[in-house]
Amino acid sequence: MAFEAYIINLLILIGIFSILAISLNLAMGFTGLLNIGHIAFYGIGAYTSALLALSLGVPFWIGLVAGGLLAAFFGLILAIPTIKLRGDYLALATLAFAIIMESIFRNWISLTRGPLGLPGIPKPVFFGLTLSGFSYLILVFVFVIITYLFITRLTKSPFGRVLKAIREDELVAKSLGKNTLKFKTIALVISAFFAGIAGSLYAHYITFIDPSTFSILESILVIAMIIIGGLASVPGAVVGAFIVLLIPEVLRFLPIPSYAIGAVRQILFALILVILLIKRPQGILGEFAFKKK
Amino acid sequence: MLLKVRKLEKSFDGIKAVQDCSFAVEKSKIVALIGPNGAGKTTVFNLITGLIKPDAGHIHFKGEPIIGLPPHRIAGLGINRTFQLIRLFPNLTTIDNLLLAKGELGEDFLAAVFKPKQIKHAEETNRKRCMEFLKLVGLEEKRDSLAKNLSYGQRKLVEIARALSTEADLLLLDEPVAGVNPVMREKIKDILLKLKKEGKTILFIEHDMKFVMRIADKVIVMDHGEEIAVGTPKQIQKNKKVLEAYLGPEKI
Repeated sequence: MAFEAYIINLLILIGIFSILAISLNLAMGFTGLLNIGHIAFYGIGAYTSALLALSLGVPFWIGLVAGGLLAAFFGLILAIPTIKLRGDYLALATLAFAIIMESIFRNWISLTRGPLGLPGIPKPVFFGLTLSGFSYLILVFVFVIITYLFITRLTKSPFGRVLKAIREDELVAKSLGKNTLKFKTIALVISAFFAGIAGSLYAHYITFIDPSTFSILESILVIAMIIIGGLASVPGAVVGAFIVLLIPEVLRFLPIPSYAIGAVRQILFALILVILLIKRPQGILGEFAFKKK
Repeated sequence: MLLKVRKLEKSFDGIKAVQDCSFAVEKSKIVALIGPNGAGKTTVFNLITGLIKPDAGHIHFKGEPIIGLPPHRIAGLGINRTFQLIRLFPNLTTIDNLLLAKGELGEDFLAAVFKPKQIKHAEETNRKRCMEFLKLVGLEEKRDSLAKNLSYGQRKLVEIARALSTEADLLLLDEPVAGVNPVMREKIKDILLKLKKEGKTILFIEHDMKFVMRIADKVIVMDHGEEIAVGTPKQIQKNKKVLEAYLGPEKI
């Protein structure tokens, strides 16, 4: 029974991170926007729907949509001054954005309770049924499918082809008549929207959030997922989420004395990732590796 | 006049790349832009396509001023170009490179999400159209190869095909036959002459003088950012200023 609950918990987290990884892949893998601050949108979604539920009693479903929309709005706000930046500069700007957002979560104490976090976020209710455990897994699964299908349709369409063209050579895309700033902004906004949805799903599952959940380290984890799974591959993002979250869990069962287990797990985890990337730099399902210039 | 350039000026860090440059391109003509290395020819291309903004001067296309418009708007008016160093989208297939050339319904975000059927139809029409251009350069069998896996000559041809499939009225070709073997060069020559017959206008930069003399209706010569001579290929061959620009002043 306990083992079953453990597996369900793991699958729910993998599902939530799959949504996060697929959405990041739209901006980073397909469009080539080096967004290091993706986790900030996740945090905005989580805090929005948690606060709406806790202070106004807003139902989960409305909070979920509001979380996604507010994250998308912040995506737009971030895009306006930064979308003209290229490569490394955009990476720095998005890094700054994530740091600012985390700092707001931590320091706007009257709203977010700062480092104390927000406990007691209600679980979603669906026709009188409170979703938790297996039923929550189904809820997350539905959202993974929606995200998966939506982003797949988008990236396989001519719209997606323009995104890829921008990633390959923005100047040429421009001289072929594409309004590249518009395309990049839309990609970032959609990407932020789904990250916000993932954040809301996380907040109402764990029922407690605090600023440390949305630190830049978590962002790096998501980036690791799409690089391992394969940039510009939607199934790759899901595979990446599985691998990155499962490896530490599998290593948990190694016969290692308890005082060393944490350190050994981290070393082995890093080692596996490095070997994976040396053997297959384009990722498991990816079509291409990041350009060497 | 399809394209009119007047008193164009552009400096980079105080060095004048283009100065007092004026010329005109008539419709359905092949015009060559020649000059020694560093004469400012590619800068002129970049100015016309809006990739950089001039310090002074005017550019009119179909009678409308185009200076200050963003590159994608200028492209929309009917000007397209190729690059001196080939710039295809390397991780896209050959056909995808061409499909991108002209706007398509499915490139609109809302259409991409909500109108799958219409998009499929528009895509098929576009694909048929692009295959014609791929056939024209003889690369229809390479349609599904990634652009980065093509040979140099093939990529050059794909870039020309891509420029054609924009169906732009004015094509700017930056060294279309540089580094291309003689067979391929003949092919490119035939394609350009065919385009001219169809009413397209071509302005091209080239160092291969034989090629220039054979296909150009008019030659514009630039040196040190200035336009120093204009005329038919025959006139240009005898022009003293041009000879000086290429060979240095005659020693007495």
